[in-house]
Amino acid sequence: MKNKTYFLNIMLTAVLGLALVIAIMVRTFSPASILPELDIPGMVLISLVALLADHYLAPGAKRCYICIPVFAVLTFGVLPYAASFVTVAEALKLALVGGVVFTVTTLLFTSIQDRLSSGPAAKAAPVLSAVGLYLAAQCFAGMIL
Amino acid sequence: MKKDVFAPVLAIVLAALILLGLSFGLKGVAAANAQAEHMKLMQTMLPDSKAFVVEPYSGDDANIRSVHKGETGFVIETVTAGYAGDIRMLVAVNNDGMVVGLVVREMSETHSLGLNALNDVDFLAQFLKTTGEAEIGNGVDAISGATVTSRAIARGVNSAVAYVTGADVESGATSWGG
Repeated sequence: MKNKTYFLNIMLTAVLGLALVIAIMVRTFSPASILPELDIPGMVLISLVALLADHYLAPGAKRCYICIPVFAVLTFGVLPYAASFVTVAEALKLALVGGVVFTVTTLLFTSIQDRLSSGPAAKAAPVLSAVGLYLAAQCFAGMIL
Repeated sequence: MKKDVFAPVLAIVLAALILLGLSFGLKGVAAANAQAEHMKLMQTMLPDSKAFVVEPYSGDDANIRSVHKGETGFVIETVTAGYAGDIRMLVAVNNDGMVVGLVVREMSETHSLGLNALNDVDFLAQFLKTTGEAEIGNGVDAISGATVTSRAIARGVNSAVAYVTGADVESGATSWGG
């Protein structure tokens, strides 16, 4: 089996990259639209989509928990800046917050869905975990704002 | 294993290059579309004005970002601090100093609370036809659970009216206003 240790971070890059491509298109062709900010719930949503993709496309892949935050910091810092959505200072802030958010989300998602993965509903466990975590992230963001 | 560590780096570099290319490639189109949409919005708010000229603003009011002068009034772009970030608005004020249009262009307020200011017609309509100081709790009802957002919008409207009526002495608008 091919090594897929870094597949999760590649998925994160793909998901965030795709979201930014859509944002660029909306900004260009529908300037009246108000784009959602890349805030904590937004980062959690992107992280969860990447985690779900990783789970279903590379089941049982090993993870490097030192590399995950490092590459997440790079992804959340470099991509929004390359898409001209943020300044350098904002990109640094996004990088730090994104790295923390992605790492925490990965740890929570993995432990929750591992617990739920038993019996006939095991295949739905990742999706249910993701939905629950997204709702929790929104509550959390509401509390700290 | 060691070779694999370059895979995510390569993915980030590749994605960044694609985004850079798209962003720079579409920069001109985005600017043209944004300008056209801005003009359309201003003509909707001040329908009797066909052309708008950017009027330099040299006043002290930090809420005012730009001023567009039409035949029948002004469209003033304001930025005020809301609950969760800046709120950017366009406020149309006719030459008599009366608010005739108001649209929120950017905000990142809380969902289901302050963000309702984007399309809460009952709230926004309270500012229309006003000529004086709009004050939350004194003739203007706040959005439920979003007093800070409501006040920020009132500040933006008041700044725009003050510019046209001449309350802002630095602007030079006294020769225009009512």
